[in-house]
This record gives sequence, C-alpha cells and structure tokens, in this order.
Amino acid sequence: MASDAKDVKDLDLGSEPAIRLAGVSKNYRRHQAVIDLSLTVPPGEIYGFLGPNGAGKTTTIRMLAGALAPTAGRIVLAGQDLAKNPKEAKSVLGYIPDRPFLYEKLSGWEFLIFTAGLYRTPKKMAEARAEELLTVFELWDWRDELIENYSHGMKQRLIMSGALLPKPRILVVDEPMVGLDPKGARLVMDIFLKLAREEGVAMFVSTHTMSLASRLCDRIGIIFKGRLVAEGTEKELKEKVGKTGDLEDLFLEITESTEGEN
Amino acid sequence: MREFILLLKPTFWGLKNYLKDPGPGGRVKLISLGLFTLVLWAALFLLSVKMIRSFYSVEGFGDILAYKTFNILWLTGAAFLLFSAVITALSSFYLAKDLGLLMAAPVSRESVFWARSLQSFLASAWMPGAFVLPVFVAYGYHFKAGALYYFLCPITALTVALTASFVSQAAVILLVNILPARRTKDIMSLIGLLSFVALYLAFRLLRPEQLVNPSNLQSVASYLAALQTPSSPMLPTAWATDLLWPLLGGKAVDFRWIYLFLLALGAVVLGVFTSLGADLLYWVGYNKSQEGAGRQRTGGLLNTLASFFSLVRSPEARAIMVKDFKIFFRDHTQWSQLFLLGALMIIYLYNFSVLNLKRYPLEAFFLENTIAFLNVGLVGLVSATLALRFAFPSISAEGFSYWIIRAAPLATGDFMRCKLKFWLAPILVIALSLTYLTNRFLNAVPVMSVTAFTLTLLLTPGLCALAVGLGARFPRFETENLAQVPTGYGGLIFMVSASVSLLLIIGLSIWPVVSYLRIRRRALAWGLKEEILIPIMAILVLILAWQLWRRPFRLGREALEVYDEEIKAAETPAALKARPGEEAI
Repeated sequence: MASDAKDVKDLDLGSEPAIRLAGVSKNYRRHQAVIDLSLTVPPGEIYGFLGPNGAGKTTTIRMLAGALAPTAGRIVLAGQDLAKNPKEAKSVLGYIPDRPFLYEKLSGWEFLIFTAGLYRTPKKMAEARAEELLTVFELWDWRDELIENYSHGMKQRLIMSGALLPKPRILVVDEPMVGLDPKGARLVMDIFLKLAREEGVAMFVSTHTMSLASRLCDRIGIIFKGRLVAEGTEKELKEKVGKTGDLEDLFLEITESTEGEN
Repeated sequence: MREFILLLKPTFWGLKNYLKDPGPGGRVKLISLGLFTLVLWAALFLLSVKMIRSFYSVEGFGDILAYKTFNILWLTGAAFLLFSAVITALSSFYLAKDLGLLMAAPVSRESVFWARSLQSFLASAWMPGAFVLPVFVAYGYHFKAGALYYFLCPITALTVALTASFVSQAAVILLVNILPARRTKDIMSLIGLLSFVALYLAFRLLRPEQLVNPSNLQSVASYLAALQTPSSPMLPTAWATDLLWPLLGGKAVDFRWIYLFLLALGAVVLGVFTSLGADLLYWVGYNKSQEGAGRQRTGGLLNTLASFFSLVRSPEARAIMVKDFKIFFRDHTQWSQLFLLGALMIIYLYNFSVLNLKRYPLEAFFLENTIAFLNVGLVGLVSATLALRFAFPSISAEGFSYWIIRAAPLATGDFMRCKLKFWLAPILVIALSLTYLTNRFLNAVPVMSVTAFTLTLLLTPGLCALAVGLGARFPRFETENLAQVPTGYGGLIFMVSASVSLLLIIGLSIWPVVSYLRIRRRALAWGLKEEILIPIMAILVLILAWQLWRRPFRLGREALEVYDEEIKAAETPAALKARPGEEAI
C-alpha cells in the first residue's frame, strides 16, 4: 500500500476513538433491529462484529456508513458526529458492502476516478492511487473493461479499491470475503492487516466466517437480536464464558445461552 | 399441469400480497392510478365517439373512414403487441433473475417455457388491451351494436393477441439461437423505437389536416382512392375487422363465422409451432443466453466529449456528471430516446413552418403574436416531456449503486443539484431554440419574442427542478428498465403538477399579453388598469416560477435523505419525521 498514507491524513485522533456508537437504536416499524448499541473502536484496531442472521449486523454497518439513519443514539467518526456533520464524518470513511452493486456501464478505471471525485482527491493523486490499487487487486489488465463484464469477485475487489482510494482513516466492511477465491481472500486479509498495523486505520468488520474473525480481529463484539451481548478479545471472551475451543464454539455458546436467558 | 400452475404462483402471490398490503401510501397510489385509468378511458371513449361522428360529417367518407380506422386500430394494436412481446419474451424466457433457480429445480423445461409464455403474454398484452378497450366500446356505442359484438370483441382480441404473442415468442426463440439474448433485446428495442419514430414522422409529414382543406381536392380524391383499396386479406387483423364490422351495421362486408374460425385456428397453429420450436431450441438458446456479450473496451470519442465537463469546478459535481454522461451514451435504452426527441423537435417546428396565418390578413398580427405567446405553453409541455423522460429518472438511474452516493461525503442536495444542472442545460437550450425558431416562423414582434423568451427562461428551470425533486421523492432504484420509471406513479404526479403549473403561469400572463396586443393594434394609450395589473401579474408569475424551482426540489431532498430501500415499505411518514437528527444526514 501507499507509504505516504500518513502524510495525507493526520491519524492522531488523541483520546478520541475512531468509531464511537452511543446508545444507537434502529426500529423498522415495530421491529427493533438494533437496540441501544454502544461501542468504540480506537485507531489501528480491527473490530470483528459477529452475529447470527438477522441479528442487526448489516443494519449497524449501514448506519455506520451513513446509508441509514439511526432511530436514536449518536454515531461519531473520527470526532465528527455523523448526524451533525455528515460530509466531514463520511470523508474519513471507506465502506465496503457485502453486495457488489456498481455502475455497470463504467470501466474499472472510470469508477475509481469517479470515486476520487466524490472524495475530492486531487487528479494526479487519484490517478496514481487508482493505478496502485488496480495493480494490488490484480485488476490492472481489466481497467478499461466495462464493469458489467467483471466477475463477482472482481467487482468485490474493485469496490475495495474504491473504498481505499481516498485513504480512509476508518474502514467499515460487511462480509469482506464473499465472492473471493482463496487467493483473493488471502490478499484482502493481508491488506487489511497492513492498513490497521502500519497505517492506523480503524476497521469495523462484520462477518460470519469465524476463522477470519479469529485471525484478523483484535476485538470481537457479538450482536444477538439487536443487542451487543458480548465484547472483548477472543481470550477475554473465552475467560468470561469459561470455555475452551475455537471462536465458533464460543460464538454458539454465547448466542445459545443468551437465547436461553430470553 | 401441476408444475405449470405452481410456476405461476409466485407471480400471483406477489400480486395478491401487494394488493393486500401495498405499503405506506400504496392504497392512495392504487386508488389514484385507478381513478386516472378511469379518466383516461372516459377521455378515450369520448374522443373516439367524436372522431367517428366527424367521419360521418363528410358525405361519402363516413363508412370508409370508420371501417379503415377500425382496421388500423386492430393493426396498430397487434403491431404494438408484436414488438412489446419480443421484449417481454426475451426477459421472461432468458433474462429473468429467477430462471437459474427454476432451471435447477426438478420441473420440466416445457412447464417453465409455458409458464413464462403466459407471463410474457400477459405482460405485453395488458397495455394495448387497456388502450383499445374504450375505442372498441366507442364503436359499439356509436353504431348501437348488439350483444354479439360485445361478446365477440374480447374473444377476437384474445385470438389476435395470442397470434401476435406467439409470433414474437417464436421469433425470440429463433433469434436467441443466432444472437446473444442481451444483444437481441438491444436490437429489438432499437428497431421498435425507430419504427415508431418513422411511423410518427411519416404520419405527420403526410399532413392529414389537408383533408379538411377544400383547396386540396386532388389529394383528397387520391386519398379516397387509396382508402378504397382493400387491406391485406391474409392478415389476422383484417379477419378481426371483417368479423366485427358487420355487427356494427357496416355495409362493407357480410358477417361470416369463418373469420372467427380462422383467427382461432391461426392462434392454435402458431401455438403448436412455437411449442415445437421451444422443444427444439429453448434449452439450447437458454444456455447460449448465459454467455456474455463479449469483452467490451471503453474509450474513444465518448472520453473526448466527456472532457468538456472539466469546465465544472466542483470535483464531486464533475465526477457525477462525467459518470452520468458516459452511462447515458453507453446504455442503449437511454440514448436511443434521442431519436424520439429528434422526431418530436422536427414535427414541432414543421407544424409551425406550415402554419399559414397570412390567409387571414386582418387578423394575422393578432393571431401570430397570440400564438407566439401560447407557444410558451407548448414549449413548456415539450420541456415537461423532456424533463419527465430524462431528468425525472436521473435519481433512480443510480440504481442499486446508490449506496456509493449515500456513503460518499456528499450532501443529498448537492447530489440532486448535479442531476438538475446536468439535464437543465440541454433542456433549456432546446426550449429556447424552439421558442426562437417558432417566433421566427410566426414573425412575432420583438416584445412578444422577449416575453416568450423570458417566460421560457423562467419555466424551464422550474420544470426541471420539479422533475428532479419528484424523481427523488418517488425513486425506483430497484428498476431494471429506466425507461419505465416515468410511467409510474411519480411520473403521473409530475405531469399533473407540471401541467397545473404551466396553466397557472400562462393563465396569469395571458391578460397582460392580450392587453398589450389590443393596445398596440388599435394604437391606444396605456390605461391605469394595465399599469397596475400588469406588474402585479408579473410578480405573481415570478413568485410561482420561484416556488416551482424551490419547493418540489426541497420535498425530494427531504424524502431522499431518509430513503432506504429496505425500510421504504415499512415506515410511515410520521415515523420518519420522528427521527432525531435525520435532516442533516
């Protein structure tokens, strides 16, 4: 990745976490998708957000990305309130959704230049970044092809290139490995780790893949029926539950015991 | 049969569920659409009755014109169905998203084909059916037809529709085996559109209004001679005409059941033929349709033209405009509409070029200038049509990729303004050019030309803002065919709002304009009434134009700010209002 990332955006957030959710709730008519969710993610941390289907993961991710407004609560990104200063908050955020919907009639190169425009990235830097990212994500030979000719995995890699192009300080990722082959998945994992460790990017990753969460994430939050039911490092969670085994066993134990309590 | 019915169930269940719970505001939409349909039917019925009566007002013409029009009606309906059935058949047989699931399921391909065939038939037949229904009723009403006409009319329509649909389906099955499905759809849509444009131009350039001009008796005689020649007797539409015409009391032909037999036989034979074709070619074609259209590289002229947008200062606006420009010219469903636009312009200007007001020397000045003023309303209607066709769907054009805009550091209002500027520029140029050229044709006085220009300058931005605003208020990001967006509920609201606004602005301006023309023609002095009322009217027009520019745009922005495709059907406006801090997102 770019070695000059830190020159472009000041990563020193002081005591302010990169991501802060305070009492965030989201209701769909009578259904409560997310209930009073509070959490923080400091710069350079990869936060894994786990939960069964329909637990509220994607709703939370979409609220974080500014694509959905919470019913209650605050979302603060790099010190900027997403509701009060949406432009400033979104300018430090890169969002990678689980479904690769893109402008099919643009080429990969054009899509990246378009994204650069939205984030006000200067032309020369945009072109340099586009070339760098297309090369890293192995799309350079396809740069002038229309996106409609890309495979699912290629689209997913292009979305990642677009999200990384403006050098975000925060990366919000929904199911990062969907549609990627093992080589692509490994590539993406390496990039994520490098971004967090070397460039201090805070990452909020939602996934169903326990092995990925275990290898990638510094801390894990488990959401169940809209509530955050457990949070900590994998080790801390094991200690809390008093279980050995892998993250999958831990996840099942926590969600089943919470279901039992309910 | 069980499989066939099962495969149709999702469609009917979907419809049933929608009718049971159409979502917030859905019932209002359904009721208003129902009312609109009734009004449209009533208008078509009355117009048709008037048209048939006018045929009989010219001695010797009545029967022939009514008969020929009846035949043309069948022919047009069938031709329309023929083209629309190609598009729906392609989508239903080869492009629908659920086909992968169905082909993998343990159901026979024959059942899949016939279920899709019926769906395609219904999807293509309902629209021409809905449009011709009031005209057929008008024929029955005018000729005081008996019960047999009303009984046979729908049966005849069904056989003609089935025949046209089977022809299209068979053609599609054959074509997909030659061309890739997507390319076939592109080609057929383009052919359909070009045929319509050619028909439209041909009809108008024939100047049918000359039929009522006695100085053109020579052409009328030749026209009459052309009318009396029989239409092709081998076409099912001719059988439909000749089956029903005697029941309307027409003298041209005798009533013969053979025509109904021929129609039914034709539909059955074509059905069998299509079935055989499907057995042989459907599965082969389906496999072929799964192949892509091949690698397509970008670049060239479009990139050069897009560099024009480097003049736009804001990087976000520039990015959005370049993207929209490229997507527009790479998507055949969008750019092909320019043909329609071209035809509209040609006919518009042609109508004014053949308008001979010098025939009325005493009233020429008054007529020319009044028409030049009323032309503002017509130009407004053209602008409204263009805004509906292009600016209104521009928000929905983002499709499922709208998440990119939502996640970007871009205010919703700024995003909408990009869309507005992108479409306002060409629509304004067209509107002003039309105003200028028509004023030239009409020899309007300078004051009238300036008034028309000013009103066009005031109205066009308002109409574009209304289109973008309502496009944002009623977005259809999920649509697969952007050309369908203006035909929805939001498009209807836009056309009603645009027409009312135009009527108000023209209505407010008409008195000052007529007063001016009266004073100038009779060389009168300005009265106190004019001196007071004209500025008041002008201010009212300005206020109206300003409101048209601002209010719908704001309404659209507020709606889009709280839009979410997953919750749009689940939330009430009250719940949306209750959300804290949403205005800023």
